[in-house]
Amino acid sequence: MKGKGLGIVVPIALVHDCQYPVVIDPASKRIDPSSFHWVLNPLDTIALEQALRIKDRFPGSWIRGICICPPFLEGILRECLAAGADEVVRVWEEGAQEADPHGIAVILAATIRTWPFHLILAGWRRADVEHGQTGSILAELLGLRQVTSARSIDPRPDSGEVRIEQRASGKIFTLSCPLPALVTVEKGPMLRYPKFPDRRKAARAAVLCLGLDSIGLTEIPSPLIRLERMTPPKPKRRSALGAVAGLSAVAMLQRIVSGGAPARRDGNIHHCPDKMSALKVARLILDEKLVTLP
Amino acid sequence: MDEIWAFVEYSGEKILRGSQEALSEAVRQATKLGWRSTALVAGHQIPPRVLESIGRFGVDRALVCDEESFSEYSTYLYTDYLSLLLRRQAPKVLLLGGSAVARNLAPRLSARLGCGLVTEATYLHHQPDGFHVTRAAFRPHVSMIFSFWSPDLCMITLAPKVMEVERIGPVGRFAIETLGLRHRPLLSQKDTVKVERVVREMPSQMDLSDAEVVVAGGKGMQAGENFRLLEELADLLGGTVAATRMAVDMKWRSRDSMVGVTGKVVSPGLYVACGISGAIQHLMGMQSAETIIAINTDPNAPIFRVATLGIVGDAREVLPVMIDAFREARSDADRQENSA
Repeated sequence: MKGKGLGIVVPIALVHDCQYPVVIDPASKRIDPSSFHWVLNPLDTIALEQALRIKDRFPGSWIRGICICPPFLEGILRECLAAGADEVVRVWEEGAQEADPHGIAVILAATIRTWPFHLILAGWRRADVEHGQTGSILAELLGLRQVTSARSIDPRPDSGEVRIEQRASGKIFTLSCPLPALVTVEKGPMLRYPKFPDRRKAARAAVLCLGLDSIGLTEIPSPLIRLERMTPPKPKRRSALGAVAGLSAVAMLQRIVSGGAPARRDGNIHHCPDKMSALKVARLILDEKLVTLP
Repeated sequence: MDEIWAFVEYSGEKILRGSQEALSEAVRQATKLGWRSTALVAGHQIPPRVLESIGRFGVDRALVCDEESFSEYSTYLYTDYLSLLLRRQAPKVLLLGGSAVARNLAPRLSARLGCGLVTEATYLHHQPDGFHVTRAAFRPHVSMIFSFWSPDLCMITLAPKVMEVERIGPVGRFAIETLGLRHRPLLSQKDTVKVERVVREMPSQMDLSDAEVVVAGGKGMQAGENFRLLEELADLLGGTVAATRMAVDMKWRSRDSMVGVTGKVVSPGLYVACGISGAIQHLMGMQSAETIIAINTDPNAPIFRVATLGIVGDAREVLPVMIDAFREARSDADRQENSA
């Protein structure tokens, strides 16, 4: 371990930016790779920012990013270096793009296993396929303690633990977890904007690339789940076409008309003060299951 | 006989919504395929009402592990215990509801067992080669359909609030089998993650961008004290309160509850806009909400252009009626639950 700080590993995924639509190839029923817009997984960038803040607090800490990605995406990875990561390691082997979450975790575990570290910080899921599995599987493969969906991370190297705030089921949990540990983050500050000199430095920095043989694997791990096909999602059922309790035929029609955005103006207005409208709307919210009462 | 299991989580005497969905789906699939449906519940001093409620879903049997060690959720203990149990009893499918525990437990358990896991399932369909599971990805552009390589155990977590909850009414005939904790946890208590503190998140503390329900008020609320109506409604719906810039400038609400271009951008399932005319700066912060209900006295207010449903009226008059209706609905649901 270098210095007195903490060693932090941040697994980084490169994902499709979901602001852009993807095209599904009708023959292969898979996404046409040319429609991908690659970016750093936003949740992983939050994990990286958390790591950078820890590094700011505890001088001597180091951050190593690890990513499974092909050579042509190496440029995007350099953003991590520009933001302040000390090192980025890229792992690649032809066929790795077919690995499922378990396979990805096996490759990451094989690489990280030999490194000394205190914390692994990762986004809790990829922003595109949203499996949300790799962090927990990685913790299991490395035999680490895990905390998922952290909101704030407060390491205490003196007592050899990390304090984590986690929100679930309307409650705020404060957890303490002995180090080393794996923490997946759900929310947090955005990744800092790199300074221009740091960008230039990152552009010249070397990115270590490892093949499977150098991490002790002979082949891409066999997947446990199989992608059968991808399809555009089915259109949402228009709720107004279902049975709506307490609404007149006219009101039902108004709801159907108001389903289209341009027709929404004046399309679906209940006039008070008879107060019945308020009651109807409240009933409608419940009948249509727009909310589940806690 | 092949089995499909549902993992049950409860709070107090109530089964959590996600687990209700998992139980319903397990029973639906078991009925369709002629399999046996099993509910698996672990905890300490499990209230009898929880077991009664499980019976109302029509499962064939419930496996109950009531041990002091399960009084608090622990990833390691649950992973150790469930992996041994699943290996021994070898069900075909384990369903988990969409919850924080499922998110934490399911991947770790699947890695321990070396079985496939598909998360956030929206639809299950049994084919000759096993279950095909549909889930959303690249939102909102794609549905992905997964199957499992191994014919043995497959694990599936459900997307929240997608599957229908179906109860059969009175408690059905089902077997309750009590299990013991036949092994010691692999890690000592000292080594595990400890819960130092738990506090209930008040609606006012809830992060706006996380809330599934947002009740927002604007200038039409007339005074800061009228926001207590919004707080009451938000509390009933399990949501949080937001405000427009105007309400914030009037010091009716704090700046961190402001929705709009200069405030927060929210995208909840339900957005109730009370006394908000709908200035473009505000609309830009909330128009991606799934359902928008607008209450405003002016029928020409721009908010009605984006609203799914509108009420022309004074929010101060409309809200008490809605609050009463929701309160009544909640006490009805509680009565039903207690009488079952």
